[in-house]
Amino acid sequence: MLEKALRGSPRYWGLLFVIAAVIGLGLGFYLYQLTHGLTITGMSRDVSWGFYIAQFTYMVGVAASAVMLVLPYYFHHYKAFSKLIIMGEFLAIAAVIMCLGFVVVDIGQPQRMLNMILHPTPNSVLFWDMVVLNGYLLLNLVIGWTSLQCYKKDVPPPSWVKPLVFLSIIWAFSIHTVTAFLYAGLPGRHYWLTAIMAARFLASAFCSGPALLLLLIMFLRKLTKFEPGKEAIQTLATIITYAMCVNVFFVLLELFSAFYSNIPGETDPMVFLFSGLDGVRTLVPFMWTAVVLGLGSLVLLIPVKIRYNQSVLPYALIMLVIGTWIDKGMALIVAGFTPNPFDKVTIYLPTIPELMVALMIYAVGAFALTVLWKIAISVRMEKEGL
Amino acid sequence: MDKTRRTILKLAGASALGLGAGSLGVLGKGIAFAEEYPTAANYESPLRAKRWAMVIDTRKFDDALMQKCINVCHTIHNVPDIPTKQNIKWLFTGDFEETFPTEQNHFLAEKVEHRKFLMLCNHCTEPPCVRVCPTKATFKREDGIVMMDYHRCIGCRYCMAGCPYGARSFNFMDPRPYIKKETPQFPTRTRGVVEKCTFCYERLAQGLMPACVEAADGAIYFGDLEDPGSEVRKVLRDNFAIRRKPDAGTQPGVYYII
Amino acid sequence: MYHAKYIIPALIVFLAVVTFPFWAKGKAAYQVNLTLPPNQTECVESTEFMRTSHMQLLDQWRDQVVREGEHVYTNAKGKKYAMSLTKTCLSCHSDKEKFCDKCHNSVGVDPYCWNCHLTTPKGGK
Repeated sequence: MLEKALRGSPRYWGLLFVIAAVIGLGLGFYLYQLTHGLTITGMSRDVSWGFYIAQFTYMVGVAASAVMLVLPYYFHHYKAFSKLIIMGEFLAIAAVIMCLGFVVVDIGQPQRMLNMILHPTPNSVLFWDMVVLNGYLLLNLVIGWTSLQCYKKDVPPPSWVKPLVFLSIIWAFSIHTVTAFLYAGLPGRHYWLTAIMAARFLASAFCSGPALLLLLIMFLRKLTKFEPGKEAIQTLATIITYAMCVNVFFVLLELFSAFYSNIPGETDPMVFLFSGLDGVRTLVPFMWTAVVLGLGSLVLLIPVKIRYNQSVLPYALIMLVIGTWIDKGMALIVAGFTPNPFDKVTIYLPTIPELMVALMIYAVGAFALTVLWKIAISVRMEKEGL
Repeated sequence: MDKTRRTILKLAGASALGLGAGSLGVLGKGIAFAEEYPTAANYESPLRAKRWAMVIDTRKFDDALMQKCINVCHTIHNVPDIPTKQNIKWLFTGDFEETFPTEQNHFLAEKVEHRKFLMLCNHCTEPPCVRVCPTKATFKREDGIVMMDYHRCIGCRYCMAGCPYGARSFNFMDPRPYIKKETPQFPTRTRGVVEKCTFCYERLAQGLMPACVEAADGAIYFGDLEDPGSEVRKVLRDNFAIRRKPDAGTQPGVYYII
Repeated sequence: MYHAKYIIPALIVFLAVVTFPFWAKGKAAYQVNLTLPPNQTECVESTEFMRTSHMQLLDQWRDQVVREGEHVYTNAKGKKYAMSLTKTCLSCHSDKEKFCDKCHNSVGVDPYCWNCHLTTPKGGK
């Protein structure tokens, strides 16, 4: 099936070429980082995790979100998702590749990466994160590739695929829970020290991931003859709506606990995000944009007639993705480190080299996604005689 | 402590180093201390404890003494002096709000209001940094010291996120250009690893007190918390002392007499 | 096999080229001119041992000092040394360039020990 990726229209090759050029550009900046160290980023002694880890966190959510397709299809035999399943699984693969990429570019001694395997440390959540992410990558590769091959050859998938699928459903929840545990167990970081962290992560993943998938699918419909079906799009949009409602509800829960209890450790990070702390207002405009976009997306998604209107739906989804990305991909990490252990505020803003290296990882994911989706689409088009 | 002539010479050398760190020139073939490189004989009588701990008598400190302790520590351990927010510090100062933010004390006693406090790794009994390190590059020794293995550290900085006290620093860049005066007896670190105070384990192994304790000249007590007869236990019995962020559940090993 | 008359000879030539360093004997023996430390008769271990295993010894010292908290090494002859690259090894082999680097540069190894472990400063700074 890999040969399907080697034959394509000029537009396909053009896209791959552009993505490769972006990877090349980012690679230059990454080599700059390898030479000079992480000093080229905006991170500091106080804000010691930044843009890279934030993107990692967001992408774990996108990877986990494949379960929103897999669960209805396999557990409840919801046939309408049949065309989307492989696309979701392949998106999950590209997302996990990006997660691993963001971690690699973030660590200070990447050549010592394998120390995590040479000296396994079960009490460290990071160790388990490595295990579950790589396991999820392997699961999706095996399940996705096998199901696609069986579909291509018109045979039922082998009996061992079903148990692996059930495992992947549980595993999808676990990857984002473990990632949430990275943050939720640290005694000094009060923005993160909440039992609801894993639940928030899952809720935001289950709306942003499928939203991203749906956006890409709708975009794909313009580029190819791929047609997922009206019911699939409408059901997915409904799932996204419910997940976003839960997501917003959880944010409100956090706000209540912080501001009603009035404990400074709880309120300070939120005050920093929404109105600035000690005069530092770097994230304030972004947070309010996220509020407007998030609530705005709900205004467009909750009324059924608007949600099912496919000329309006993409805008709702774009607003949702940007809003959730600001919350997870910009605010989460910095707010955990603000204020610092000495109750002071240190400004963090990603630098240009940092953004370019992140762009490189995004481009690597885009490359993987393009190749994988090209294979899936070509197989389907061949089977449907299009 | 039995002060032999040798110990006094070492103390004199360390104090001279601390006070005159900038002015000491290079002594030719690389000996930065008053004594030669230690040999196996120096390690014959190490200091041992079941749980090393420190009591800082903040009443006895002024800015100059604190700076002297910091200079000694940072010089003998090749801690670089980086002027940006990507700086590295093992021993540093802060005012009351910075040191004890959980006290939330808005009407401080006059004598404490403008006092500065020394901060360092607390070598907790239940260190979150050790719990989260994915490679055991930071680990707890049996004598209570939270140790660093710079050879194994992958620079993931999870320990920095886990530490509630801001005790750890990351080498964002190559530290060597920023080391004012190299002490060849102790390694530098390299770019990409996290570092912090290690309670001068290399001096304890030679039967010496940590450098800051010696430089503080009685303002810092250091000893075995599990030995009821030790100096630290005596000082804690006689004086009220607090610890930083006790609600974090870490059981820090550094006490402050206010 | 298709095209066997081309492939088999080419394979033989390839294997010969790839294994060349193992079987070819040059005219002169491999020469490295080390400058031994003056006034020293004895290293921590014998020269043969050091030639083959100094890296393993240093790794062992590293783990013992850093992870076990042990600082004293007893060599094969029962003599005790402090386990330290800089304080023990380099206190005799004080000129890294005339000793350590001679072999390392010749065989093309670049140990990163020197990124952290200092040699004795030669003046300046």
